[in-house]
Amino acid sequence: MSTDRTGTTEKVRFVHLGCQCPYTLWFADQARCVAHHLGLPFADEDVTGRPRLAAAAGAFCPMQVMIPGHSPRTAPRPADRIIAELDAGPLADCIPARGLLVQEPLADWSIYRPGSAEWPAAVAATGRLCLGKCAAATALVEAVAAKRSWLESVHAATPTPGCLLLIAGPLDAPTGFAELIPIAAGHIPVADAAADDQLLTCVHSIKTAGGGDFRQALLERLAAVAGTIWAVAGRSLPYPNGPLSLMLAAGFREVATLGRHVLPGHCVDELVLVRRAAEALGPPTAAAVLVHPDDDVVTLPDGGDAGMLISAPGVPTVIYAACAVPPGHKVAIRHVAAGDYVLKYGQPIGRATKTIKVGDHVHTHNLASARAGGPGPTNAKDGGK
Amino acid sequence: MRDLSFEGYVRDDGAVGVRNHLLVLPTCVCSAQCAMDIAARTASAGAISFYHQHGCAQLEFDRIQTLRTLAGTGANPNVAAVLVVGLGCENVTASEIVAAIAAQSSKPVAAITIQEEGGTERAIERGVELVQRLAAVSGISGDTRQSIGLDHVVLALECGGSDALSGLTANPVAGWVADRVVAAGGTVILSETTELIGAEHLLAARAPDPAVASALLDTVARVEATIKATGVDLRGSQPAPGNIRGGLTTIEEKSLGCIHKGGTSPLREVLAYGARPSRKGLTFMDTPGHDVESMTGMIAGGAHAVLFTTGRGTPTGAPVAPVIKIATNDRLWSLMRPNLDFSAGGIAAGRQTVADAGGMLLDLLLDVLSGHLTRSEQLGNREFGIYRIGPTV
Repeated sequence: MSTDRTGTTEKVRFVHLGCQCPYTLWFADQARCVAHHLGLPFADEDVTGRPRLAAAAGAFCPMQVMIPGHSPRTAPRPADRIIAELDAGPLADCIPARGLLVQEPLADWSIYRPGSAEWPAAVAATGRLCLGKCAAATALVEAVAAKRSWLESVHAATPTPGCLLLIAGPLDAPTGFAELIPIAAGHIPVADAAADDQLLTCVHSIKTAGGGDFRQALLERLAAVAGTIWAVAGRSLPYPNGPLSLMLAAGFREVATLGRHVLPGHCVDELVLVRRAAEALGPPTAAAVLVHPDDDVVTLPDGGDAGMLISAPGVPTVIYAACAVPPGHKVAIRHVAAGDYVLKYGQPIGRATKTIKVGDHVHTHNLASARAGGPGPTNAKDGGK
Repeated sequence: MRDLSFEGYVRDDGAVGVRNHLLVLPTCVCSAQCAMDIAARTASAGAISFYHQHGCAQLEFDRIQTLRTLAGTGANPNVAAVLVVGLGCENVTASEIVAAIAAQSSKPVAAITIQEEGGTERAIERGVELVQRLAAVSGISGDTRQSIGLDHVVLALECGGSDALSGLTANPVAGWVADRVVAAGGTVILSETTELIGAEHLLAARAPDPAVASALLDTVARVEATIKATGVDLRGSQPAPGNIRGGLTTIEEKSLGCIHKGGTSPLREVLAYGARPSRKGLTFMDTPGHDVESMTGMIAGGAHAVLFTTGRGTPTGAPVAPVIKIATNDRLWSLMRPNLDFSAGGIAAGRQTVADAGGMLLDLLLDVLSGHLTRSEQLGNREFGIYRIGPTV
C-alpha cells in the first residue's frame, strides 16, 4: 500500500504479489480502511505481472509482500490528523455489511480477488469482500523458499524506499514468514528511513509448526531502525494470539478502533490502529501470579500498564493488559460472560456484572460479590454452592 | 528436626505465659482513665493498662460478652497478676471479674472501685499500693523463663488491611507456621467470621466432627443473615476501601485469602467470642473482621501471641499478647518497616517459597514467645475493643 503522488490524484495503493490468500483480501480491506482515513482513493494492485491463475498452480508465492514507495514525511496528512479523524466518527464505509459464507475446500481463491472478473459480483454479494480458508494457498506457501531470489528482485524493483510493509499469509504457513526476515532486514530499505519515519506495518499472526514466533522478531528488527510505526491489526482473529497481541508484544499501543470486519464462518473482528513509539523497547512485561489452574484471573503484584505482556507461570496463552492495572489487582485470563462466576483460588469470588474479556482489569467495575447483599448465587457456573 | 521449644514462664497453676504483665484492668469506660493512671505510675513494676469503652449500659448478652472478655484478658497466661479497677455502679462489676478470673487461674487478683475509695486520686494512690503488693506476691521480677514446648501455646491468627497478596504470600506463610504449631500439639485460633463468607465450605470440610462443621456453617450463616437483615449491603464495608484499593474486589476473594492463615489442619472446635479453646489443634472463634475486636476476643480466649498479616500496613498491637506483624509485599515492608516484624513479600518476588518464609517466621515466633519484643510492643500499641452485639442502652 502506498500513496501515489506521481499524478494529480493521490491514492492509496494496495500492492501485492498474487492474491491466493484470503488474508490478503482481508489486509486489502485494512488498507482500504487506511485509505478511507487518509481521504484518498484506493487501488488494489498485483505487481507480479504473472497470470493470476499461475498462483494457484504454485508458480509463485501466494504470500503477499507489499513494499511500495512512500514516506510518511510526504504523506498528505499527518498521522495525528488521521487519528483525530478516526476518533471523530464510525467507519460505516469500511465495515462489510454481510459475509459470503465460503468454506473450504475452495479450489481457486482468485475468483474472489479484487480485479478478477468475479470480484464485482463477490463484492456485491458480501458487501465488501469474502474470506475463508484456502487449502490450496497453504500448500503453495511451501514453495516460498525456492522463490526467494525472485521476491528479492521484486523488492529491488520497488520504485522508492518503502514505509509500508504488509505481510500476509494463510494459516499454517510455517515457512512463509521465515522467508520475510532476510527481506525485512536486507531489502526493505527501512534503514534509509529517518528516525521519525513511520512505517505502516500489518502483520498477521500465525502459530508456526515449530511453535516459534519469528514475526515478533521481524517486527522488532523493523522497529529497531524505523522509528515510530503505525499499523493496523485485527483484535481477535481468529484465536487468542491474534495480530493485535503480536503487535502489542512488539511494543505497539492501541490508538483507535477502525471498525469491524466480518470473517464468514469465523468471527467478527475489530480492526485496530496501533502505534509504536520510536523509543518503545521490546514487549514490556508485567509479572503475574496464577493461584489455581481453574482460575479466571491472575494477580499482578506490581501492577502493569496498558498493553503489557502478562507473564504468569502456568498460563499457557499470551495475554496483554487491556488497561493500566494497579499493584495487586487482577487481570482476566479467560473470557467471562456477564452473570457467570469468576474463579480465583479455584473458587467463586463473585459474579461478573458485565462481560469480561481476556486482558481486562477485573475489579469492582465488572465483578461483584454474590454474598451478603450481592446478586446471590446462581447455577450460572460450576462452583456455586 | 527443628527444636520447637521456647523460653516461657510457668505459673503456679501450671499455665505457661510468654510475657509477665501486671494488668490494671478497668471494668468500664468510667474507670479506664484511673486504671491507666495507676499503670503509668507503676510501669517499672511491670504494670500495663488500656482504655476501653465497654462495661456499662449494655444489654445482657453484651454484658456477658464484656464480662467474659475482660475476665479472659485478665486470665490470659501472659498476665502474672491483675488489679481490677471499677467505678462502683457499672453493670460489669469488679467483683464479677475477679471471680471469673479466679475461676480460670490461680494468679493473684485484687480490686478497687473509685466510688468506694472516694474519688480518683485516692483510688490511684490505693491502686499504686496494690500493684506494688501484687508485684511482690506474684514474684514477677524474680520469675525466670524455662524451656517450654509449642504444645503449650495458643497462637492467634489475624489479618488486617489485607491486599491481593495477603492470600498469596503472608497468609500462606502464617498458615505454614499454624500447621507446625498444630503438629507440635499446640492450639491455633482462626477468627473473623465475616471473612469466612465465601470460603466457609472449605474450612467446614476440614472438620472431622460434623457438629463442628455445622457449627461453623451456622455461625457464618447467622452473621450473613444479620448483615442482610440490616438492609445494608456488606459491600459498603467489606472489603474495606483500603482492601479494594489493594486489589481485593469481593468478600469472597478476601475470605478465600484469609483462610490460608489457618493452614491445612483439621478444624477441631468453633468458639464463642472470647471463649477458651477446649481442644488442641485448629479452632475457629466467632469474631468480627475488625482487627482489634478480633484480636481482643482471641487473647481473651488465652492466645499467647498473634500472627498478624497485613498488606496495607497497620500499627495495631494488643495489651497482653505480642503481635507479630507480617507484610504481604516488599513495598509495604520498605514503607512501614517501623511497624512491621516480618515480610513475606519475597514469595511474590520469587525469592522465597512459602516454606522458606514459614521457617523464618517460625523462628521469629519462637524468639517472640521467648521474650523478643515485637514492633507494636516496642511502640506501646495496646489497642483493645470488644465485639458489640446489640445497642448501647
